[in-house]
Amino acid sequence: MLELRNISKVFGDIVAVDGLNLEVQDGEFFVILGPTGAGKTTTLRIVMGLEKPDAGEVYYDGQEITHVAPPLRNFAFMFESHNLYPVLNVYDNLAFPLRSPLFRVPEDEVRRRVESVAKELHITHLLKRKVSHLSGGEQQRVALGRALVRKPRIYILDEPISSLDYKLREELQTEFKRIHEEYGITILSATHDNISAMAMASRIGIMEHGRIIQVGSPREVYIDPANVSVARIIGAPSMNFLECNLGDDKLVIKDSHDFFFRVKLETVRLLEEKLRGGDRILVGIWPENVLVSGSTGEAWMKAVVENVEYHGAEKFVNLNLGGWPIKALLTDDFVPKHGSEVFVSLPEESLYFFYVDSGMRIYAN
Amino acid sequence: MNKDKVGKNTEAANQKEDLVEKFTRVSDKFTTAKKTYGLSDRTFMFFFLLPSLFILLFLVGYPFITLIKSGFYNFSVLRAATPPKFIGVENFSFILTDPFTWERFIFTGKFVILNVLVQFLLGIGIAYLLQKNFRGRSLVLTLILMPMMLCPIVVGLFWKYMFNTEWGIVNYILALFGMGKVEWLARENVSVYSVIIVDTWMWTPFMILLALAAFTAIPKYLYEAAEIDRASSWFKFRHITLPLSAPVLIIAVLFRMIDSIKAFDLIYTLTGGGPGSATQTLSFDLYKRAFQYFYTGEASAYGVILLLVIMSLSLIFIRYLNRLAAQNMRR
Amino acid sequence: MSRVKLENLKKHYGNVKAVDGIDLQVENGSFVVLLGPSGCGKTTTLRCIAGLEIPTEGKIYFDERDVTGLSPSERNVGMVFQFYALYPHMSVLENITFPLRACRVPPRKIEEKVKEVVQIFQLKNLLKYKASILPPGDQQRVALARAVVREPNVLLLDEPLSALDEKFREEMRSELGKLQKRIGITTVYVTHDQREAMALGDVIVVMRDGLILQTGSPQELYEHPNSVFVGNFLGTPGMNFVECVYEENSLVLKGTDYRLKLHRPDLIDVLKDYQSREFIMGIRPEYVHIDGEAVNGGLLLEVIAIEPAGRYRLVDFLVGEKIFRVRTDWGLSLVAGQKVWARVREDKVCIFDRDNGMAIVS
Repeated sequence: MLELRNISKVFGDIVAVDGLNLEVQDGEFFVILGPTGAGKTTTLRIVMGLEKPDAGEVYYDGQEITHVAPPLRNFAFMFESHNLYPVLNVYDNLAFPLRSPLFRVPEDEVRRRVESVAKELHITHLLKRKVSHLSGGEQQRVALGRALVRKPRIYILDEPISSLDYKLREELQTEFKRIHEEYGITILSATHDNISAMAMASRIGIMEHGRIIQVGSPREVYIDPANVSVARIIGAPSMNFLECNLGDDKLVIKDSHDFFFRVKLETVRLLEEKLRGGDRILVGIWPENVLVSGSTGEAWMKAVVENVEYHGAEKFVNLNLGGWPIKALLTDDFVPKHGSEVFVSLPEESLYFFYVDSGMRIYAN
Repeated sequence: MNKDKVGKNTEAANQKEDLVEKFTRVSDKFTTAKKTYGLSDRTFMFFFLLPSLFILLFLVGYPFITLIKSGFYNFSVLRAATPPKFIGVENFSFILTDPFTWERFIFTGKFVILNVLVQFLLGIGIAYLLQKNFRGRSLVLTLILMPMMLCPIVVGLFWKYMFNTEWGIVNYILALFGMGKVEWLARENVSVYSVIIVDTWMWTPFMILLALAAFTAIPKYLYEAAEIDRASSWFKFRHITLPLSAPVLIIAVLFRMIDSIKAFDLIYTLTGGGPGSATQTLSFDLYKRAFQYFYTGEASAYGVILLLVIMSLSLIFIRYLNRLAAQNMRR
Repeated sequence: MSRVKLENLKKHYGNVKAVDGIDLQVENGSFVVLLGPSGCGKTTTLRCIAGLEIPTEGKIYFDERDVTGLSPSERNVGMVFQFYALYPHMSVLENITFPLRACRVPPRKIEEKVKEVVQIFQLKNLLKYKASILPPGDQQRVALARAVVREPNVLLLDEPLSALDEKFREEMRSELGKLQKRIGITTVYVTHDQREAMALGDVIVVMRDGLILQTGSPQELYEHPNSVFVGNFLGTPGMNFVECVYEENSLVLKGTDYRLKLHRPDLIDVLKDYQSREFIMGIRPEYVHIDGEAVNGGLLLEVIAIEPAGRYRLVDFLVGEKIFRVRTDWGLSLVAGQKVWARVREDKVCIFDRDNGMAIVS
């Protein structure tokens, strides 16, 4: 088990990592998900030993390793830019970690391992090729292979696939997942790509401003996001947000008196109590829970259609609801036209409530 | 769970045992390794730097200190037997109050400004034309760069012949166009321009080279964007080429400026500083005081003053460069 | 605003045929996406429309005007480059006004136009900053503002979102779509990301090896791909493909003994001629249903992995030697190793030729 306790790292006046705590269990595929500049790479570099934290400790299986030199930690690291040795061919690149003085392995063992990994990754036919003659996806596979030939304690991957073409990414994300399950290895990865993070991870840690703000299985964080930032980053597309004022038995969308939706009395009570006098509230709802219809019903609000986006299996419509942008999943064959009016309803059971200032969830549903 | 899966799990467990074993072995190795190599990377670095540091100290440090020291003494290498006499700042005050120095100073200023200006304009002009790809471009480029590769003494000598009033080729060509003879090197107000012509001939290629490098470093897509934005050639040059190549051009101008202030070899062979003292730059004056009259102490002081002038000029330029850089970074 | 028409457009660099004969019509005010893998000729096509490349052969028309030989400045196009190509030494304001200043537009008119685009792209707070120090998302907005400030005939966009973070990309994608509809400008957009193409395009043009493979609305292309390539390239993830043979009104999936009984007359009609010849069946991940209990006509499969994607998940199976991915909601609880029954929706099946990968029925 890998453990980070209270890690901080400052570069000049930039706080890259700010009191971060993290636990990665054996055999887990843990993905740190966060926007550029959240401190993901720095965190990984600290785990790797390439960076010394200003404060905090790194533990592995209960043993402190904060100051152990990188090669002695026996972690494998795969960089964002897959740093292969361009003058060597694929075989030698794969064999490289096994030939290092610290981990020297007999040459026939090297051959055996390189060949089995190459077979696993479908790159056997490339073994004789120069790395510089490979395509991006092939290079990525070689880089992954180089991490796999060694048997490190943890694999650390920094943006392993996000620089690739979208289609390749999809392919490799399945590959990563398969390899993780088959080898039973521990992986710690960081990415800004929410889709691949959700697809690959056994657990996700969402990172922002140098801190992990929520940890959970992909499904857990989706159903139960701890705050606005999490809700914004994990969905594809993101959650919709509406700032509202609390009414007697309804929520009124800010700056627009005619746009309101009713909620249960007990909900209003509960919110009133939590808000302590304030009446502003940020309401979140996933696009698939927004109901859109061409005709009005009870508690439906009027919205203007901006455009319709096709996502292959699904269609989304971008709406203007009282000045607020709303994205909704279209479920049936109803495809509204640009500029036309439709009716929107926000079912209470799928609403999330957040504090406007802190962005934290007011209460878990 | 099927058999396959179970098999894999045991394999994974074995792998893990493997790992633990490997890790302990590695740690052993680490402790022994530390004893064998006593030198850290930093110490190594220092040892590698040491020889160059020594050379620098002897070739730059020692002479520099000696120079400053002898500036405060009445001393001539011709009278090495007489011990140098300490006279304080007398050398400096003498030079700075000598009207002849000021005359040289003003001349040098004129020479530098005119020289650099001409070379700058010609340099970026020619570089701009050479940017485009045309047949024989590399040949033209090589030919243009040729003067810079010659030895200044040689350049001075053959231009001296070409500028000869009676049988020089320059006057010969002028005569073909029906123009009279010009005393290129013998007339006071002409000889200055002759020197500038030769210096320009020799050193404009340097400006061209740097300007060309600066121009080609500007990404092509900016010009494409400007093309889409319907900018004319002049507009593109004025708003994209010039500002983006400015830092390099400023450095080029600084180089030419420093070089012009200390211009000596070319002038020495071309005019010998004449007629009279018409083409004597500060550094030429310095040379005369040091190696013709052998006022070693005075010349040292002169050298220090010259150094200060060049340094303060460079400082102004570097300040400006930094400001440019800061502007690009500012939020 | 103009209609754009390409006639037999070709661009060769020596032996490399970057674009090898393209016919395309972009209607006034529509959003057309050129989609394809790198090296398919999409960017070259765009650059030909811009006038940055002179085509080897063929004609380009803006409305009725032949612009083939004209320079970019004579065409009045707006363009956003892949990495924005903002003038790094200029402020945002100077960048936006550049196209106007370059054409000597009077200052009062400039002020008016700037006000307008600043409003549209919400650049008010950025105007005085140097373009080079802005984060990519802001740079992109500035680049867009610069491209439309002169009211060009056509707006050309070369992978404008590729420099952004995944999340931000999705947001900007929506923004861009809304904006185009609001301004209503004829737009040609180049990308390799099919999600962008699907989300933004009125018409998608799938290109490969310098040629157009298929043209159509996102939905047409998604539901009726004309080749294995298009079927695989479009969709998140792409179509599933299995080799099959046709026997007695059924499809027999290679590597299994599964028989899909056919009812669609159009399929049966065509496949009669493929008796005992192998071909490829394609099915979208969402058109396979899985069930925990045995169902009539179902195929028993083992779950290899589950990839959550928020409101839905992808379940990976192995059919023969191929990964088969099924998109499903969270109703059924599934774990790796579990066996479930899968059912293919016959009405959504596509059939492709095994040799050339082109559609037989789609």
